[in-house]
Amino acid sequence: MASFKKIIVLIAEFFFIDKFGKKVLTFFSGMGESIILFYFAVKNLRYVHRDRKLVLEQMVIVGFNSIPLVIVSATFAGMVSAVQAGYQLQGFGSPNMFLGSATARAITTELAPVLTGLVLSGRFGASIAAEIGTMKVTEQIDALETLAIDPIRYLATPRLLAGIIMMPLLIVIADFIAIGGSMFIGYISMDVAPQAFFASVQRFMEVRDLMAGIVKAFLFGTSTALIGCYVGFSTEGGAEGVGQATIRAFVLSSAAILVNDYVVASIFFL
Amino acid sequence: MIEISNLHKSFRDKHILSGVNLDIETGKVTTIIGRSGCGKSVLLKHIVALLRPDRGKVVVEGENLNDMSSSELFEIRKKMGLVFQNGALFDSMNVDENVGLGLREHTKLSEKEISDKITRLLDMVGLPGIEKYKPSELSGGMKKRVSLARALAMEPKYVLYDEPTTGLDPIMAAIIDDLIIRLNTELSITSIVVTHDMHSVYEISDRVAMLHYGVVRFCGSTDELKNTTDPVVRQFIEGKIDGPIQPVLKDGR
Ligand SMILES: Nc1ncnc2c1ncn2[C@@H]1O[C@H](COP(=O)(O)OP(=O)(O)OP(=O)(O)O)[C@@H](O)[C@H]1O
Ligand SMILES: [Mg+2]
Repeated sequence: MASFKKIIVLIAEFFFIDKFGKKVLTFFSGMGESIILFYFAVKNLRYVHRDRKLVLEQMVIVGFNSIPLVIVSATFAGMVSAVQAGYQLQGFGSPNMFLGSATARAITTELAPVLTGLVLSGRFGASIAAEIGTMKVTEQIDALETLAIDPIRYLATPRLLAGIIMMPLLIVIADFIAIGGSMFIGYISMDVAPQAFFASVQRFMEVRDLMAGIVKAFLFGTSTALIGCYVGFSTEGGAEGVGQATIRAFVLSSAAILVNDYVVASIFFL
Repeated sequence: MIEISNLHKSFRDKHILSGVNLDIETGKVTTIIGRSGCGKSVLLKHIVALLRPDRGKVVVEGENLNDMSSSELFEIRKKMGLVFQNGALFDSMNVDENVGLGLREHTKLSEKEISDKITRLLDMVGLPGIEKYKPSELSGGMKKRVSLARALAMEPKYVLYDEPTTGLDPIMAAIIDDLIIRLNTELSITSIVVTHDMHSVYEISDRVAMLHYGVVRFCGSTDELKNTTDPVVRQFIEGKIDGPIQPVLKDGR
């Protein structure tokens, strides 16, 4: 994989491409390498039964331990969406009719996946990169290889799988909590009864909204875990390198979430 | 038999190895000496294919590592153990899990058999009863010995030691030297030992190779080493300041 990058850089030098151009090229070669990593990580899924302990461990780290964070962010996201929807609906008739569907649709398609995704990219994307990066710079990855253990199978596959499984679960949890939060605000400050709120949700919400949210969740989980692993494996240069890797993983996975979000939204709703 | 021929390696534009030729004979203890930063660890990493050469090859039991698929490499690595200079223990695992990882991954031994084996290995390196310790709770010398136990767990035919006695007290160093000799004579483990400890060199080596400026400057028995007339080698083994090797060299080489 490293030689792949080298070739790209050589090509860049050959064509006198400037520093910016080189950066762009390294970015694309990085994307290429991540896809290769993804391929090998998926290939190792056939050992998943044997490695279930590793996967479970990661699911607990990624998922279970993130629940408090998800609860807090989803509650407030839901509450603020009710406040904003109420404000926007002023003059459009009764909030009884529209508040439920307006907030629920916004939450399931957009707010819960993106907010949860961003919060988790800071939490587990960065922590995967820091952990694998530390292992890289302290030769623990080398040690795995000398023990004839494939680091991709041992480290990347469980984390990727945990991300793919747990991100959607956490986002569904966030959906419920955020809708609960917005219903609560609707009730106490806009006099929308819970029954009316749900009637509105049922009347206007579409399966498509839910589907879009779930598809996003899978993509966000995949990209966050993959970027964390890729950045971790390509870490170099001691503690400083690990620090930079952590930041890079967070920035790249957040960007990936926003890009994926747009792509999925335009496929579903344009 | 491990044959290293014409091995070249550079990092960016820094040439570390520039044409290393060295044969590691089966059943012997070969020590590698050389100045700090001359590429001894880099050479060891080529032998287990953690690093790929820019040019040249490493041939293990007749097979060129360059031509191997990754699954073939994993097979050959099961025959090798590497004791890392800094231990490279898995810091998320305790000592038991570190030492037992290879066994749990690659063998069908029962948990009881594995833990018995771990106990024996830890006794052997002079660290009984530390199974439940995390690497962060160990001293540098202890880490190195746990790393040795981990490397020996799979009963490799070849063991590569990267400075196994650096940082150990003299008695412990002697015990490890003795262990290296015993593993070699009793289990006929082929050993490659990188060391700065000239006392160990004379104690354990069948053959000594000195790496200097990216090539093997000297290779021979300990007697030949003692009687060599090469001023570079003499200065090194006697630890003199004056001589052809300048104390402060560019790149530390
Ligand atoms: N991954 C790497 N990237 C860049 N340079 C490296 C890398 N690994 C080693 N080097 C360089 O290669 C040279 C040799 O390193 P090596 O670790 O082999 O030295 P050594 O002979 O083992 O020294 P010591 O006795 O101090 O352990 C050093 O100058 C080091 O800077
Ligand atoms: Mg070294």
